[in-house]
Amino acid sequence: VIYAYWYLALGIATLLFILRDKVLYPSKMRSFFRDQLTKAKKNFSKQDFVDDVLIPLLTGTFVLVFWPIAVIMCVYWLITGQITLSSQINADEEKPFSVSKQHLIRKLSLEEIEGSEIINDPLGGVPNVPFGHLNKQWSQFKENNSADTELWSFNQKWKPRWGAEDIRSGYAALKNGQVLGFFVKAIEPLAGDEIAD
Amino acid sequence: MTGSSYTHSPQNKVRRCCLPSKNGAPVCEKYSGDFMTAQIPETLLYNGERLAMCDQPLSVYFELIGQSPPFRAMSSANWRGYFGTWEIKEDRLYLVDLEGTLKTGEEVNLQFFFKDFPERVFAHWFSGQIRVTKGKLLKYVHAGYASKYEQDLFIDVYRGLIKNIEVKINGTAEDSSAQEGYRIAALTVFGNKRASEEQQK
Repeated sequence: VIYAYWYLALGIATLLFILRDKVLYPSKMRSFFRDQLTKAKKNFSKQDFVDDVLIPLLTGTFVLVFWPIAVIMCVYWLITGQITLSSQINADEEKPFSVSKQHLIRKLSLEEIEGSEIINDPLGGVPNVPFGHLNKQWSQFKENNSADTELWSFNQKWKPRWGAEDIRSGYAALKNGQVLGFFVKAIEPLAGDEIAD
Repeated sequence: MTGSSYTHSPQNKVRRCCLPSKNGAPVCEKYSGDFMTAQIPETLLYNGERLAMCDQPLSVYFELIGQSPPFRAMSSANWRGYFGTWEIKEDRLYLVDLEGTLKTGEEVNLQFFFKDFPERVFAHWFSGQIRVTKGKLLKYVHAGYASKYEQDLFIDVYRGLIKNIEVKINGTAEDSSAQEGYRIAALTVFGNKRASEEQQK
C-alpha cells in the first residue's frame, strides 16, 4: 500500500509540474474558471464540454495513473526545447510589443499623417480613409491622445514569440518625453540582409 | 494594432512557418513540428486557375487590429478555423471569400469582418512572400504546408501590391497519371458542420 501512495504522490507531483502555470498564477486559474462559468450560463455546447472538461479531465487522470510516461514526454519536450522549466505565462508576459523612444523617426502633424496614409484601390476594395481597413484602430488611437500629444513615426524590429523576426512601423504618441501609445500600420518581413543569422 | 503593449496569439503562428524557401530549406524549421497534421491551404485565384496558397495573410490583419483570430478550429488540418479565397487582379492581392466558424459556433463570411466590402477586400495590410503550389505531388509531408509539389510560385507582396512572381520547378512526378492538386492524407474533425462538409469533399 505504501508503494501505491508513493506512486500516486509522484503522479500528483508530475501533474503539478505540468499545471505549474495554473498553480503559480492562481489569478489565471480563477479567470479560467470564471470564463467557464460564464460560458456555462450562456451556452455550453457539447464541443465546449469536450474541449474544456472532458479532455483536461482525461489528460489529468492519464498523468496521475501513467506518470512515468508523462515524465518521459516532459523530458523529451525539455530536451527538444518545446517546453522550458520556467513558467510559460512569464515567458508570454515578458515579451509584449512596445515602442521605445530610440525607434522614433520623425515628428509629424495629424494632417501630414492622414494626408499621406490614404489607401486607394481601383477596384474599390478599401475605404477611402487613412489606413484603409485599419481606420477604426487609427481612430481609437487618435481618441486616446490629447491636444498636446506629439505624433512620431516609428520603425522597429520585433521578434514575436511565434514566427520570424519582422519590422513594425506606425505612429507613436509622445507626451512629456514618454511614449504613451502607438498604432502599428504595417508588419513586414526583414529583408535578406537584415536577418541576423 | 494600438496600445502600450501587445502580445502575439499562438493561433497566428503558422503564418510564416513550414514553408520551403526558394532554396528548398524550411524558412523557420523550429516551428515545423507545431502542426503535426498537414494544413488545408487557402485558395488563390490567379490567371484563371485555383491554386493552393500556403500562407495566411489574414492573420496579419488580426495582429494589426490587436485581436486574436476569433475562429474555432475546424479540424486538425485547419487550426486557423477558416478558409479564405484570395485573388490576384491588376497586380494586387484581394481577399474575395471567407468561410469560418467563430468560437461561439456562428458561421461567418467576408461581410462579417469587412461590412461594406462583401465581394472584394484589398489586402493592403500584407507584406511578405506567399508560396503557392502547382502540379502533382512529389513528396507528402504530414505537417503544416511542408509537402512538395512539382512547382512553387513565390509571390512577393508589398502592402497588397504584387512586386514579383518567381516560379521554382521542383521536379516531375514519377507517376504521370497522378492527380494534380493539394492533398491532405488524414485529419481529425472537431465536430462542427463545416468541418464535416470539408472532410466529405
